[in-house]
Amino acid sequence: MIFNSVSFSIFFIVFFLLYWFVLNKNLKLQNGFILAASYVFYARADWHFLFLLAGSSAVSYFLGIYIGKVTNDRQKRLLLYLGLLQGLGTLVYFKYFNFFITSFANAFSIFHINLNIHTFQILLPLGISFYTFRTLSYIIDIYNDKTKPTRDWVVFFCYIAFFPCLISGPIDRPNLLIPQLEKKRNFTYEHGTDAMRQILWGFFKKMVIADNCAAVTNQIFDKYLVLPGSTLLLGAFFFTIEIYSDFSGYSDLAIGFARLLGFNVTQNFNYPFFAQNIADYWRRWHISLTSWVTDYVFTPIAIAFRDYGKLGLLLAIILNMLIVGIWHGANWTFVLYGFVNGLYFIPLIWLGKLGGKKKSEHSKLMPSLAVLKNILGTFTLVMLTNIIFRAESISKAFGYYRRLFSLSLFKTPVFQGKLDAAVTLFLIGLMFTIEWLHREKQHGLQIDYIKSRFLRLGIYFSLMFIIFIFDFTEQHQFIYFKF
Amino acid sequence: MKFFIKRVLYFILYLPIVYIIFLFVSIPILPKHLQRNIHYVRFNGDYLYTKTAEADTVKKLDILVLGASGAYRSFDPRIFKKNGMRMLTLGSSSQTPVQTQYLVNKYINKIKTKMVIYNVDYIMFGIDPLESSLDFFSNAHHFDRQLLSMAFEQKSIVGFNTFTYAWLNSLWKNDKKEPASIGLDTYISDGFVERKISKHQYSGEHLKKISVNVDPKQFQIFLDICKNISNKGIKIIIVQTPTSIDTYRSIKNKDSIQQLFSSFKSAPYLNFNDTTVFKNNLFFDKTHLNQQGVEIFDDILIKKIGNISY
Repeated sequence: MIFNSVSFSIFFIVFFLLYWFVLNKNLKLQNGFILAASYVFYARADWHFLFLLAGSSAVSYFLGIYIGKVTNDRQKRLLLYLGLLQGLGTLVYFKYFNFFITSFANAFSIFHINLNIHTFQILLPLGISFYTFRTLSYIIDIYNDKTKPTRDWVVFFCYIAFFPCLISGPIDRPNLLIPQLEKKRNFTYEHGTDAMRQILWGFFKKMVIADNCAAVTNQIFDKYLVLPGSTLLLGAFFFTIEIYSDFSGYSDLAIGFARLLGFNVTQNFNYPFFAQNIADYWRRWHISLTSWVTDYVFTPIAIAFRDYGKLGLLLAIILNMLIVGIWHGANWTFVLYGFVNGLYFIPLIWLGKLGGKKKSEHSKLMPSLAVLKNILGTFTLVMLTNIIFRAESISKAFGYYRRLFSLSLFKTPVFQGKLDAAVTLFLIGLMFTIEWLHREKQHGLQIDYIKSRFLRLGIYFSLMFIIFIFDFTEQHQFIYFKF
Repeated sequence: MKFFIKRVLYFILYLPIVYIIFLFVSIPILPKHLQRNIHYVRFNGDYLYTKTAEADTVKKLDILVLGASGAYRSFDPRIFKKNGMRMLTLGSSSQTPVQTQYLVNKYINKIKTKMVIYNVDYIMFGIDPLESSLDFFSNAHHFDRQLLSMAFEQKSIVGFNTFTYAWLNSLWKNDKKEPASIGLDTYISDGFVERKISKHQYSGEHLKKISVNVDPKQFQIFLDICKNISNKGIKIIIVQTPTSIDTYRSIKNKDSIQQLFSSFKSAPYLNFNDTTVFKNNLFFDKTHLNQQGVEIFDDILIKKIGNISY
């Protein structure tokens, strides 16, 4: 049951009406209903691992209570380690076990030692990377006295499995979501209409931009060995736009649906392609993950390495980015992706521009040349690095780079459906223009400032029309589902 | 909350109206490549528009032919007429059982026919019925409930858009006449599309071996159609029209498919691919007979029909 399906629309409408009109008076019943709906939502997608979701939630729930209760530091630490072991252990087993085993065996094979190790057929539970990070932040935050353990198991289970954010985030922190689950939610007209606008914008990004980009990306990456460099450059460009519009579109949908239920969840994207350097980019991209890793990994490491100055900071950043990379999947490509992104921080650290705010261009309609140069430079770096992210293996990524940076880069691009790609380019331009105009807003379609109701309605209808005419009918799954 | 729901409901109510207006205004002016989720092609060469117009006026027939392109390119009504049989072909490009069922439901009671020839093309049992549905929407004269349900069953935005636009177009102006010749083809009254023999001969090619997938849903619809026709006391013959030897040989699972089609007991199954009569020079491409091939095929078929006892 994905957001852009008829079954989800029916599910959500029924849920919404019962939630606000039947169960509104009783918070416990309302939360119980969220939990039941979340488990149905998950079971419809992947019922095999429903018990894993429930089991992980139960273990974290009880550990949270005990960590909050014990006063002995040693016992407290032991319980924390138990929680980390449970969360990370589950994640490592399901996501990385085969990867580590095969990498281990491959490492030995370099020295001609053949380890006869067998791998297992392990299915990846849907959303495991997202909900595990939620359980981990809960345990760590209680240990650090940043949050209090909840005694209401329904509230906690809802926090872990809240269906708009269950499968692909955002990864909300306990301090944000649990208090909202513990008190009565209110619905306001302004909140509801803006949530609907955000949902419409999410659908536009996913169904029009991402799916149409995917049609170009897939054919170019599948045949990169025989295509000229100019085409491969286009492939990297379309993939970069695809992954942004797919994931940020999904996030807009998740946030929009949560807002319709009276919840404020973490903003996951802040127009990352308007970033003026790589640090700025990572502060705007998949914010809930990067801020999670910053708080729980980077900050402790940076503190531990503080005596090593800039080198310590660089090490902390590289470690941070390695974790961000490998979080995406069990493949060396993601490790390399994280590492390369870490290396991009070197000039910023050296020049002391890591935390520096870039020139504000808030009120300007057009960016200045200097800002445009920074934006395009950052985008180019991101685009070229995304080749590693998209490639199936490191050797294929390097094969792609080899062909990309050959003389064929100056040839005319060759691929099927050039006219369709040109239309997609126009639509990408439309998306970025709208997002640029609303870069100070929470989402691209926050047009409540437009006073004319007819103009607003005209924009909604036009977007719906574009979705119905340009929705690419063969691509529906969200990319981040596999992470 | 109530105000919000009221507004959303108004929006949902107005959406189809505004959408239809957008569609009607924009599609005629939008270049083809910008009409991505609409596939409105009137007069695409199978003459479905003309055929269904003819079917609306016909009351009595000896033979009604149904099926995909093999149907309207293999059964020449002039040859059957010489043998004293009035025939009408309602074949159309890539016609799958879904569309055949629509035609049967629409015409089987209107047209009194003594016999139905159902031309089966294996491939059509495994392809997406959407392509042919779009042809039906684009070339429809009347937009009835069955056509609407066909649009719904496809569960495709392309299907909905094409259906809606074709329906709007039919309301606006529907007086166009299909040209008698399109490209190399000439339309012959009663549903036949002729391609002259002199210029067009198939010279053979090496084709990759394929396994044809028969969709159980489509096959069930096929069985339902056959049952429906024979329950009305109409004779039915299932015919596999000739395809080139290369095409026939390229199908790996032809034996099991043949068994499947011969499983319907009330209808004899005639496969014209197990004969050596139809050499490459009798085709204009790998699957369609040229006029010389059609004449040979129809003569053989007429003799066979005479010998069938029910």
